[in-house]
Amino acid sequence: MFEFIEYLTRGALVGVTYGLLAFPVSLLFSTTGSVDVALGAYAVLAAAVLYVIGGPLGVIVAIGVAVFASILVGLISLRLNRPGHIDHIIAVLGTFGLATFIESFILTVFGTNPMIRQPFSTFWDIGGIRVSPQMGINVVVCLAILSALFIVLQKTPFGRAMRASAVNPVGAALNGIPVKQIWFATYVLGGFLAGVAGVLILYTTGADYSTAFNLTIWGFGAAIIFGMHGPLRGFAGGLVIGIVQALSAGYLPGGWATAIPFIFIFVILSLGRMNQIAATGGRV
Amino acid sequence: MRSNTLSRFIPALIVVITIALITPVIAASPFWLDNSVLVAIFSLLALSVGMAYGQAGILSIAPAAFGAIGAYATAIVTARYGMSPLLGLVLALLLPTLLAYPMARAITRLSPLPLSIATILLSIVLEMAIREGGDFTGGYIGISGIPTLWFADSLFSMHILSWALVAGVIILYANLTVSATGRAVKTAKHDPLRATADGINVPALLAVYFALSSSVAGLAGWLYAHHLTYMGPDSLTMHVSIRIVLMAVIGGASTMLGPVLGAAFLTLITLYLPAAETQGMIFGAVLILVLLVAPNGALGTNWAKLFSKGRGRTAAKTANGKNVTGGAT
Amino acid sequence: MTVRAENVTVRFGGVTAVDNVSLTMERGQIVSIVGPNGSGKSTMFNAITGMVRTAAGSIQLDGARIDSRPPHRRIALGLARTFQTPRFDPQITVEEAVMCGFYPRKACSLFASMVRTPAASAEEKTFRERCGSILSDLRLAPFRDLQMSELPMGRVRLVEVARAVANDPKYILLDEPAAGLARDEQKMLAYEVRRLADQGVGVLLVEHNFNLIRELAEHVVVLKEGRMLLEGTPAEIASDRAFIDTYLGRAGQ
Repeated sequence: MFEFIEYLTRGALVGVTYGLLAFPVSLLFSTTGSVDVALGAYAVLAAAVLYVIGGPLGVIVAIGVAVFASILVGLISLRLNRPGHIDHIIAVLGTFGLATFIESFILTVFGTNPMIRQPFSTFWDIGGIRVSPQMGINVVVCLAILSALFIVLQKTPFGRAMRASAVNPVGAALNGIPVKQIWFATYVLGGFLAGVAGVLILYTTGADYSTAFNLTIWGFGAAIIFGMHGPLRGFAGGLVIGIVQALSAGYLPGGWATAIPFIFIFVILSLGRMNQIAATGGRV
Repeated sequence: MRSNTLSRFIPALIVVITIALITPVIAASPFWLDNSVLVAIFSLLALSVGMAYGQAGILSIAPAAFGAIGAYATAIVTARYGMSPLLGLVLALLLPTLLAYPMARAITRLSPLPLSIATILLSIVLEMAIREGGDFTGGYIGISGIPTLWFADSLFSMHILSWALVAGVIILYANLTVSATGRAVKTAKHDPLRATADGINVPALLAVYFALSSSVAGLAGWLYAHHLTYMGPDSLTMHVSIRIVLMAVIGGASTMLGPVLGAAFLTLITLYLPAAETQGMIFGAVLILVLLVAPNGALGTNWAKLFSKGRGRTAAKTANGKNVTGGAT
Repeated sequence: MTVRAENVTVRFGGVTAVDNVSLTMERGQIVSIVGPNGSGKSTMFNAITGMVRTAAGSIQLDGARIDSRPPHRRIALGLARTFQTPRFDPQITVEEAVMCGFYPRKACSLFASMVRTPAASAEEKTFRERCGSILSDLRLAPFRDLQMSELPMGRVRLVEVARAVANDPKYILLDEPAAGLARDEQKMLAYEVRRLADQGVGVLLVEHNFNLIRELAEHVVVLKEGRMLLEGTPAEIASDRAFIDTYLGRAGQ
């Protein structure tokens, strides 16, 4: 039982970063109807840059690099899509190209070694469970960012415009809302959040070049578990994914431990959580 | 009627003529024969992307995974149990379909986007399963000593066989495209709601196309295993899938010959590319570039329209599908 | 032999788009729905074809309840529809667009289509011939090889009608088919719609042009804000005070 609670805690604490990745997934999907497969790659890129530079400067440069990469994707999607003619799949393909590029870039420059930094040598003892203070930092950073975003989305004109272009891009464009700029901003926001997630991941579980697609999958899974309606659901979804990972790593033999979380997301996908926008609702 | 009957056979005819012209030139060179077989195998894989992505709009990142299923199926029954490669062929065609159809049915409603994500998952899980498969899949070591095909045991006959298969697949594919089903899937790709009003069960039709495309990939995997006589966990990975998608997109995913052209182009280019780890950068960059310049690929783009001044704009507007020429005349 | 919608209610979130509307159309009869924009005409179409879910009420086709069946099954039973804003792939030709309408008539298996069995060839040939005759009925034959994007909107609507007719429907739902047509084209359309009805097809027509309705419809249902305002023959409707006030006064003649 104690073991179980320990896995639960560990998993939840790792899952916090997935919650951070889940937010851009759901925001982008509801705003543009597309998916940025390169999110995980931004995160790994940020982790790699910070691994090399280090320190507060490293953090800033790392997030900056992630944002830069997402700007590229934003520009590509601006070129390929416009209100009234949105080819989601082609935009996804573009992010695939970028993800492949970044992955190969990291492999070429940084090699196959895992990148991890553990700044804390002391541990907190919470009811017998050893927890790194880094975990505390993760939770605080994630909650702070997500709450800030929540307020921005609900209370500011920018947030309203963003939600309007999510519901009806053509209508929003007719009402003078710069839909394309909003889409662009959504991609870049995704890059920023992924960059932050990458920084936290470097200090927590570490990353290597091959983590990129996995991180995208975790973020994606976290986003769809409870439906794509806002950052807090994605945060909760992240916790669930983290816990599933920790539990399967704790209780299952080698291969299954890594496979089960993927299969879990597969099952969630087949429950059709992503399809609720379908044909109903609104004029045909 | 009109030119339809003929036009259905033209793509396959072009392939056959091209191969007939090339064969005498390369027949003496094992190096080029070997590459020709590889181009044919990748043509089949890229054609499978063309069917799923070009026709049905399902972006699959798993062509190599379905190919691996076909390759491992035949490798296991022939190399492990000494059974006929023809049984391997049946399995290579059947197993991917049996996996792809229920998978697509479970996940696809109207938008095929979630299915794309699921194909990434499939690739990752399959690679894991192959590594962890122990003696059955050969684990990290893979399966070597896969027999060559007794009816095509020389490089030359393998070259003929694989291109014959490509031509055959193209004929079937072209027939299907010019049929009620082929038109239906195009409608479903363009506008699922319109397709529904035409009486199409969109999710079921998309699943059928996805399953068909995966069995073509399985066929390619079968050829791959018997050509290289070795199959390992690193043979047909997700990175290969991305390269295959790139082949289809470069050539023109919605056309019959585009994927073949793309496969030939990329396979030959790869011969002269630097080390494997930097290839991803080149492929990634090229993919983005192609999407920006000619998202419909070399054979799918109306180049004349693109280059004629002013009309390019109209073409872009037309693709909009909204109020092209409003009002009555 | 009827399509019968009884007490149909459709809600989008908190908005009730159609509220307790009933409607019957017989085969061979032309029924028209009129009403201002946003009165629920198109939603009624969507409810009958299954593209929106009804919150209450029932929809029957030839006596069988169809309101829990998915759209493609309803189409297969002999329904066909057009869209108010035509939905089409701008890059296909007029002929291709109409050919798409034959899908529910397809009997050949996927495998037969792939190897092009004689049966599949014959089927494709029948479709092409039928397509040719539909196109010439609607006087679209000269445009068969044009791209959809090259047609004026009025003719695009006619192609939509042709596509719906291709299904050989028992009941056809036409959403403002005459909008944007020149007078002689309207006349031709009216003639074709009448001919469809004479062949035993039930026609449900959404239309703003009351002259056309008067010419065609045997029964008119007037909707306002999702509710049924009144119903009757075109002559009864045209002389109704409430109708003239809310509708005809502005958009009619």
